[in-house]
Amino acid sequence: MAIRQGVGRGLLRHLEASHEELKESLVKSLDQILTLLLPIPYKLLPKIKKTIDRAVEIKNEMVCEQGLFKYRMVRSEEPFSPHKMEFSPGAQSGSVFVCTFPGLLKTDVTENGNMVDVVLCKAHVELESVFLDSC
Amino acid sequence: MTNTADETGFPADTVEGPEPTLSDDLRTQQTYLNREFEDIHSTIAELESQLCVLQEKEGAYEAEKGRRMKEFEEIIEERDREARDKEVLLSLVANLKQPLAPYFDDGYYIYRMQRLNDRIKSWTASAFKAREFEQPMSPTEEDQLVHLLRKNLPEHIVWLEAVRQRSGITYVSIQAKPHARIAQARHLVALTIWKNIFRPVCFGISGELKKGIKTVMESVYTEGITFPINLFRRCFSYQPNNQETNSPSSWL
Repeated sequence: MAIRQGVGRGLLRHLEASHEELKESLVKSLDQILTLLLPIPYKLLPKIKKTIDRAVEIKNEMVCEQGLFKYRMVRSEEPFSPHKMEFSPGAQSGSVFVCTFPGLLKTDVTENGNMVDVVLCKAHVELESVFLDSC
Repeated sequence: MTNTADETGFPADTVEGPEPTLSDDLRTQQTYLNREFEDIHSTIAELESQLCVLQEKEGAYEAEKGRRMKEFEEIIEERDREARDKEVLLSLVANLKQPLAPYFDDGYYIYRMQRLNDRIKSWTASAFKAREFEQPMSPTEEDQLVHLLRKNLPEHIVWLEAVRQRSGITYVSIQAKPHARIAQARHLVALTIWKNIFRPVCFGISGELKKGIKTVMESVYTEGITFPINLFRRCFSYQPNNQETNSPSSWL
């Protein structure tokens, strides 16, 4: 695990120089897409920038950790699993329609040496009923 | 014809009969010697043939021995190289300025991820909650949107197509309802973050190295140092490049 952490730190040290440029490019492309979808004018850029900054911060911290983290976007049509997913408050039913935030998992090694994924954060989803009712 | 030997040790064609003359004896001896000579020649030819076979076998054996020796030397060399690499790697780890230990516990990351989700939820709701569109999207804007999605998030187009076929829900019907519109915006943000920031081993890593590093990390995690050291070295000498193909089939 220490070696893995060393590799992560090494990678980060060498890639960090390019992060600002890459973040800027991501912010720009997401801003262009979301702005076209806006119902009324709204200044999205600062919000997107902050979101991307926070996400990169979290990722960078996790890269330097000894644990092995995984992020899971739920596939549309996948059956809802309360152990791995959650939805907005309110009654919803059906299978997963859209994933609105990825779940966070951490890989643990059991005494037998097997790798097991433990759910730290459930993925956020919206189920079919919400879309079928509203659309 | 019998080939029994007489007192002189030479064989006689006949035991009885008229006394052989000297010239007969000489002829008999000559014949015998000729046969012996032929036998010896035949034996020599046979031995020479066997010698050739043995020489060929010896040549093949020598070649095999040479090949095996070369392989053995290569294995020894590789073993020594790996031992040196291991020492270098261990010394690198030992000399890291910061101690290698966990920074934060799981609770910290759970909190940060939840905060990030709440933040996205909050601003997407504010931005996309309006009941009516101030202005409908123009055909040019639609083309622009499709172009941008194809370039940056083709997975979203795949998703739209899948839900249209499955449930008859179209992009227009999603955009018409605030709740669906907000969910779509959150999906786009989450997809962007997941695909570009969270999923790669490290933000900014090129597609080429992603797989190798992931293998290294998982290997180290379960088996210790068992990966080729050259792969490790490559990680620290490559140029950042975030250009990669966005295959819709690879994101889930």
